Amino acid sequence: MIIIAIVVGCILGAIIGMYAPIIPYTYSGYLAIGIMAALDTVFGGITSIIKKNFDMKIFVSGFFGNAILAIVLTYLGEKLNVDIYLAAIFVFVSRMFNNLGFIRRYYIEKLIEKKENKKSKKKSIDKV
Amino acid sequence: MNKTKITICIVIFIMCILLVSVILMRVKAVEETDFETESAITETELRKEISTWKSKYEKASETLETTNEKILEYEKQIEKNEDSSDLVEKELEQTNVLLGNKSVKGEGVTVTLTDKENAKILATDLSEIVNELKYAGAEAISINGIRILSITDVTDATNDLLLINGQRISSPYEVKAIGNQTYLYSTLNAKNGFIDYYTDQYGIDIKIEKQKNVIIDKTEQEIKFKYIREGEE
Repeated sequence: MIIIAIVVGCILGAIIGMYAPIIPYTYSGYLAIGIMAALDTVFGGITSIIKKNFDMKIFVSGFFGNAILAIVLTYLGEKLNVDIYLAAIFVFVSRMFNNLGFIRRYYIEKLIEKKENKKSKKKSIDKV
Repeated sequence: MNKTKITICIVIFIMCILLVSVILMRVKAVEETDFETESAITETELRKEISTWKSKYEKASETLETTNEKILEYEKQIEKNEDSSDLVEKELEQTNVLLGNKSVKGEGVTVTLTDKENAKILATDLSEIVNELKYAGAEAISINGIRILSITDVTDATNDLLLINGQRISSPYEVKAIGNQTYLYSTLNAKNGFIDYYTDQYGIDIKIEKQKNVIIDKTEQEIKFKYIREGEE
């Protein structure tokens, strides 16, 4: 059910994005920061699912809150002539790598476990 | 399927739509911009250039404004000059007409005075008719084709001759006057007026004719001043 929602949502989003008006490049910078924040939250959510402490409210609030906060900070940085967006990107990307690393390790460990299980099963069969 | 799962599905669905659409918008924006030209110059350089161009633009617009103002002033002056020259020309024309330097025409009367054996016309008689005509509002007068001006003299000469400006004239005397026809006619024809008086008293033959188009030639007299100078006002 969730997978269907994700796939349909992505397709619809793609269609909307294709037909949306082109925004000027300077403003699309804010969008980019928002995208990074949202992606960070998505990967954080996946990690929390694996860790089994996933909370829908925290996930949704993080998705929107982080994006808006990142955009506001970028705007503020532009006004103060400080490249705050660099710090935001740094934080988001480092967290994304952490989360991705965690996810990767989890699935690799799962794979290894499966293989070992098969081997042990075979061995047990052989012994028998 | 419980309610929480459905809400989760909906929320994730919306989030997916948002995320993907925003990403695509960003991608489109990036594709639209031409980085080759933009990245060649850094932002600070661009800003500097913009500020310099702005100041240049401001200066140029200032100079443009001042020159425009100047042009306006000049145009005004030219207009004024044209106006004044027009006025001067008009005045000149009027004075020329007044001084008799131009032939004029208009409605008026022609009076013909003829001598008789026992009644000769004198210079005073002509002066009188000229005065009468002037009184009746005549704007231009001539006698036998000689324009009568403010400085014109009419004097007696011998042998039935009169002198006007030293030119000899003799009977019949044709006095032309331009002015209001009825005024001129009625002034001369009035009871005890010029014609009445002279025909009765002296028996001079006087004919008066109203004319619609009296032509009076310009004067041949040259106006030269030797003694008068402009007085202080």
